[in-house]
Amino acid sequence: MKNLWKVILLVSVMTILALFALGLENDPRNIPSPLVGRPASPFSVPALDDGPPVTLESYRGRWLLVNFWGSWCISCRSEHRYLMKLARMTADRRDFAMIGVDFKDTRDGGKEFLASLGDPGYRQAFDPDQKIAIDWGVYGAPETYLVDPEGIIRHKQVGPLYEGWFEKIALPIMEKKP
Amino acid sequence: MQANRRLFLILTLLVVFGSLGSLIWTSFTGSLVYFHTPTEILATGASKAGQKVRIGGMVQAGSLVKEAGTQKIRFIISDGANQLPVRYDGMTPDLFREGQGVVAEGPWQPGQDFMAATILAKHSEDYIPVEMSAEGIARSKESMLRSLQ
Amino acid sequence: MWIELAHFATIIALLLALLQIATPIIGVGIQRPVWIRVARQSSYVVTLLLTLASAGLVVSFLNHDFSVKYVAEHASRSLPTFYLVTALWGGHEGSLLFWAWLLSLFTTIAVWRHWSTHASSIPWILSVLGTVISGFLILVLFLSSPFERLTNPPFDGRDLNPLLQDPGMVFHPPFLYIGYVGFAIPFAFAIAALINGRITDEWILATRRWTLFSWAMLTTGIIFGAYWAYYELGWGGYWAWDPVENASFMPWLVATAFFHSVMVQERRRMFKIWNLFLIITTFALSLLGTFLVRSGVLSSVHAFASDPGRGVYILIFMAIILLFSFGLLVLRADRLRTEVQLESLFSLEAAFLFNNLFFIIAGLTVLLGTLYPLAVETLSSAKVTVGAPYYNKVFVPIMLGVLILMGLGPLLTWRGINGSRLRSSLVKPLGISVLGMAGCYLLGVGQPYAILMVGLSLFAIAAHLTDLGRGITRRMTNAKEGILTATVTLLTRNKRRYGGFVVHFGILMMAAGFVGSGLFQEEKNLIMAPGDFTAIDHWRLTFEKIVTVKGSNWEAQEAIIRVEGPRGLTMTLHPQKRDYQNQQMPTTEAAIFSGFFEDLYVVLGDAVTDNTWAFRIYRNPLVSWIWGGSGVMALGVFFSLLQGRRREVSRQ
Repeated sequence: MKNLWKVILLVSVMTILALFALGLENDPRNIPSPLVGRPASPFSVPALDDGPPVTLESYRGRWLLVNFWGSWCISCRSEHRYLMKLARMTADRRDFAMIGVDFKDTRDGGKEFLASLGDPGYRQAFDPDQKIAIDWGVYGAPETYLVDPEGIIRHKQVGPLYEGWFEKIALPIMEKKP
Repeated sequence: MQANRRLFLILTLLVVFGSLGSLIWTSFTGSLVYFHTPTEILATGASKAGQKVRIGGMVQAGSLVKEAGTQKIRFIISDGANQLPVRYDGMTPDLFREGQGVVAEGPWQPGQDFMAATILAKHSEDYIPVEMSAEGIARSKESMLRSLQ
Repeated sequence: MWIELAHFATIIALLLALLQIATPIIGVGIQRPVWIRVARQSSYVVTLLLTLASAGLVVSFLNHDFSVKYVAEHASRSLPTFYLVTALWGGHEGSLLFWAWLLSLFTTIAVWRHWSTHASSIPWILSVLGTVISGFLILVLFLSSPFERLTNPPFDGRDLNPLLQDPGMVFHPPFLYIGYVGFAIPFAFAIAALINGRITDEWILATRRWTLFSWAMLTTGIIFGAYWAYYELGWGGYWAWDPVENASFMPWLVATAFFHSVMVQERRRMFKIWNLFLIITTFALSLLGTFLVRSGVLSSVHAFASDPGRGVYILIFMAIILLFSFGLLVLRADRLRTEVQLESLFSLEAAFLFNNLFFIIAGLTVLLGTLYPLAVETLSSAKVTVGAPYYNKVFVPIMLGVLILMGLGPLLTWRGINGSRLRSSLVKPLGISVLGMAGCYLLGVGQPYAILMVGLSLFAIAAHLTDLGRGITRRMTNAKEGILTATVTLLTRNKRRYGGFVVHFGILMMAAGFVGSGLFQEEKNLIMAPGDFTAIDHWRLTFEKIVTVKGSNWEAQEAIIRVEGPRGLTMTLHPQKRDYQNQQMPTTEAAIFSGFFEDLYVVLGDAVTDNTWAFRIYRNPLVSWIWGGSGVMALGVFFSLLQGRRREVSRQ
C-alpha cells in the first residue's frame, strides 16, 4: 500500500511509452484508402513527352506502379533518385512496369524536372487539370499506387518512396497474390 | 495532526476532486467526434443518427453549386468509391475548391444531405516530413471555434 | 561550404558531448577531479561548435543556397532577410539543432555559475546534460539532418509557409524552446541529487531562478503563439485546444505546480518526492512537446512514414530518459520520507497542496484529450477528435478553484491559522468581492460565471493588497519609516514575494481577458456590396471598395472599411485576402482594431457575386488584457529574479 504510488507511476510511464511504440507501428501515412481492393479508374491521356497517349489498359497482365508527382513538389525531387534506381533494378522483370503521372503541372515544368534530375525511362502521363489524380483520390504529391495484373489497386503509398520500399512493401504484396 | 482533522482533509479532497473527475469524464465522452469516409458512414451511419461526425474526402469535380447572392453552397464529398451530398452556409476556408481534400463536420442524419456546420479544406500537399503544419493548425482552429458555438 | 563547416562542427560537438557524459563518471569513480574539468571544457567547446553550426545554417539561408535541402524547403529568393534568419527554427531539422544549441549554452552558464558552489553535483549535472545534448545531436546528424545537400538544386526554394511569416510566429518557437530547455537545468540538478544520494533542499534553492526564468519564457512563448493565432489565422480567437498548443501547455501546468510546491519544501521540508516528481515530469513533457510537435505524430498525415527510424530513435531516447529518471526516483524514494505532517487544513501548506492538485488535474485533462485520439487511432484505426467544449467545461471550474486559492494565499500562514484570525482577515476581501458581484449584477451582467469571476478576482486583489498594506504599516510602526520609504524597502527586501504578487495580478488580468472574450464575443456573418453598411454593438462599419495591393512576395484583394465607433472615434480598416507567389494557398489577413476594452476584428471572405463580398465581423471584449496581463506577469517574474543569491547562500 505504502509503495503503491511507485507501481502506478512506473506503470503509467510504461503505458504511455507503449502507446507511442504501437503508434509507430501503424504508419499514420497509411491512410486507409477505400480504393484499395477496387479496380483502378482507367485513363488514356497525352504523354508528357508528346509521344502516343499513355493508357492504363495497355498495362493489363502486369503489376503496375503508378507514381504521382509534380515539378512543384520538393519531396518528389528527393524521391526521384530511388525511382531511377527502382526502374533500373526492375528493368528485366516481365511482370512489373512503372509509369508516372505528372499532375497539376506545366508541360515545360515537368520536362525540365526530368531533364535536370534524369529520366527514369518509363512513360510519363501528363495530367495538368488533375483529372486522373482526382479519380484516383490523390491528395498530394508524391503518392504511389500498386495496381495488380487485373487492374485492381493493391496498395497506396502516401509520401516519398524510400530505399528498400520495393522489397519491404511491394514484393510481399506481389508474392502473396500469384 | 489529529485523526478527525485528517479525516476532514481527506473528505474535502474527495469531494472537490471527485466532482472534478466526474465532470472531466462526462464532458470528455460528450466531446468526441469520429472521422469517417463517405463509404464508412453510408455503410454504418444508421446507428449514428444525430451524432456529430466528421466526413473527409475530396470535393468532387463539377459538383460545387453556389446559390446566387448568398453564401449557401452544395457539393459532393467523394472518396473515390462513394459519394455524399453536403450543404453548407457560410464563409468557406481559403483552400476550399473542387478537386481538393475537405473535411466537413456536422450532425449526421441518415438519408438526408449532410448539413455541415464546419468545413475544413485540405491542401493538396507536398509531403515533406513537416514540422507543425501551420495550415493544419489553422484548420483545427477554425473547427474548434465552431464547436464552441 | 558553410553547410559542410556547420556539419563538421556538429560532428565534433557530438564527440565532445559524449566525452562530457563519460569523463565525469570516471572522474568521480577514480576520484580525479581533472576528469571532471575535462568535461567542463568540453561543454564550453560544444557551445562554441554548436554556435558555429547554427551560424553556418543561417549563412546558408542568407546566401540563398538552395542546394541545401533544408534551405530549399523553408526559404525562397523573395523571402525578406528577417525571415531568412529565423527560418533556422522554421522546420523540424533546424529547430532540433537550435534546441541543442540552447541546451549547450545553458549548460555552459549553469556549469560556470555552479562550479564551485555545487561541486558535488556538477559531475552528474555535466553527465545528464551531456546525455540530453548527445541525444539531440544524434538525431540532428543521422536522422533529420539540416545539412543534407540536394544533388539537383532547384532554382528557387519552396518558401516559408506564409502563415509563419509573421513576427508572432517568429518569436513563438524560440521562447517556447528557451522555456523547455531551461527546465533541463533543474532537471539535471534533481537527477544529480538523486544519484548523489544527498537529497537535501540544495537542488531546489540552486535552481529556483532557473525554474522561474524558464517558466516565464515558456509563458511568453505560449502567449506569442496565441497572439499569432489571433492576428494571423483570422478566425477571431486565440486558443483552440489544438494538440500542438496542448503540447506546450502541459509542461506549463506542471511547471506552475512545481514552483508553487517548491516553496513548501523550502519552508517546511515537505513534498520532497513530489517536487522531484514534478520537475522530472515537467522536463519529460517538454521533451514530449518538442517531439510531438516537431515529428508530426499529432497531425497524422504528416509523419515519419518514409523514415520510421526517426520515430523509433525518439521513442528509445524518451524511454531511456523517462525510465532512468522515474526509476531513480522510485529507488531513492525511501530516503526521502517526510517527517513533517500537514497540521491544518487552513494553512499555506494545504493551500499549496490543493493548488498542486488542481494544476496536476488540469495537466491530466489536457494529456487525456491529446493522447486519446492517438490511442484510438493506434488501437482501432478509427479517427477521432476531442472537441474544445471538453476543455472549456473542465477548465472553468479549475480556474475558479485556482483563483480561490490565489486569494486565500496571502491570508494564510504556514502551519495553520486560527479560525478567528482567518475570519477577521477575510472580512475585507470578502466584502469587496460581494459588493463587486452585486455591482455587476445591477449593471446587467447576466452570466453567472462572469459574475463569479469578477467576485473571485476582486477577492484575490483585495487579499493581496491587504497583505501589502499590512506589511507597509508594520514597517512604518516598527522601523519608523514614512509610507514611501516603507513601501520601497518592503518591496525591495522581498522581491520574490512581491514579484509573485505582480505575477498574480498579471494572471488576473489575463483571466479577465479569457472570460471577457470567451463569454461576450459577438460575431456577424454578412454579404456586403460597396456602399453598404452594418453595425455591431456600438460600431458602425461602411464597406467602401475593394482594391488590389502588392507586397514583396504576395498580391492581395483589400477591402476598405470605414468605421465609426463610440465617442466620435473614426478609422479605416483594411482586411485582405493574400496570394503568395510560391505557395498554392491564399491566406486571410484580418484587420483588427485593438482597444482597451474591446477589439474589432474584420475578416474578408470570397466574392459572392461580381460586386458583393462575404465578411465576418467580431467584437472581442478584453482581448488586449490578455496581452497586457502577460506583460505584467513578465515584469513580476523579472522583479522576482532580481532577488540575489545572497539569502540562499546565507541559509545554507
